[in-house]
Amino acid sequence: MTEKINLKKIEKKTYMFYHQDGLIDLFIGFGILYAIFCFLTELFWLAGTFIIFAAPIYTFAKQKITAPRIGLVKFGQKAQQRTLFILLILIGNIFLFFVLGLMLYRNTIPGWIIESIATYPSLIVGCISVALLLLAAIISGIKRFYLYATSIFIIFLLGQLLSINLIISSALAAGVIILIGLRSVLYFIRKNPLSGEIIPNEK
Amino acid sequence: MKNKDQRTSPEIQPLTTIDKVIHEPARLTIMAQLYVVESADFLFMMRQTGLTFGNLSAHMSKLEAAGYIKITKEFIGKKPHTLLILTPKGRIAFEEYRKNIKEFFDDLLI
Repeated sequence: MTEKINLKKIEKKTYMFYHQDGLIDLFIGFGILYAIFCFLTELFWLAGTFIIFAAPIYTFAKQKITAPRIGLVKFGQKAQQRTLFILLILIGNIFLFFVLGLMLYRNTIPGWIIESIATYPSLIVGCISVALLLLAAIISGIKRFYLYATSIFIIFLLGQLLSINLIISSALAAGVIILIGLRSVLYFIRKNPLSGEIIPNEK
Repeated sequence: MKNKDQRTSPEIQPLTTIDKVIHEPARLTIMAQLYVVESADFLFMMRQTGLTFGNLSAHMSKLEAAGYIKITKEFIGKKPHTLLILTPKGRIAFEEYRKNIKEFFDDLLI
């Protein structure tokens, strides 16, 4: 009994263990793609609907992929706040596209914002996304978010230097998140195969 | 005949008050795990604790008998599902256990 029982560490490890499946990454990646689609089609109002149909899909995937492999767990308030924060990041990103699109559509963007966006479009969007992802990484403890923040920073910096269209940079960033998410899902499935053993419901 | 507490050396007396149900390493792991979540199912506990099905079942029974955990059974689709929840009594007992162990080691001078 000489080892310290660090409950915070256990809680964080449990949270990370439950989110190692990569589903949350796919959720974020497809959310960004969907926002880009709404931006391109000028159906900005549609961006907000992502959560409505994506949340049940996420829950369904969790039940079909994660639960049979590592079981189900319900976290306390603190951990639920962490998940909520990650969701808020996704909503924040979608909202950013929504507001920008709406302002462009109505020509109501203040001059200095247009000037800044016109001069450093990739850098501005990139920095905001990186800051949000770093916050998500710190709060959730999911290390893949650091990788996303680094990748997005590189993508948007190159986008700025090489004058690549903002939409292309954003799609590339979403692609990176989806690819790593898919890899995580496949790794998770391989690492945690469905055992033939039925878990009886007896003590 | 002296009772057990009277025979125990006063220096290690606090150890006799340690909750033996929780003190067993496997049960301590289960309690610590359940303490940080709201609820977890049997499979999740098996993965997290590294215990076998039989082992986990046996320890769960002891913890349930002590009133420290609540075991609920339900069906998800056609599959049986066992859910474990730390009861308020279990939560208090675990906090008490932590406090007692900490106090004992804090007072231990070598």
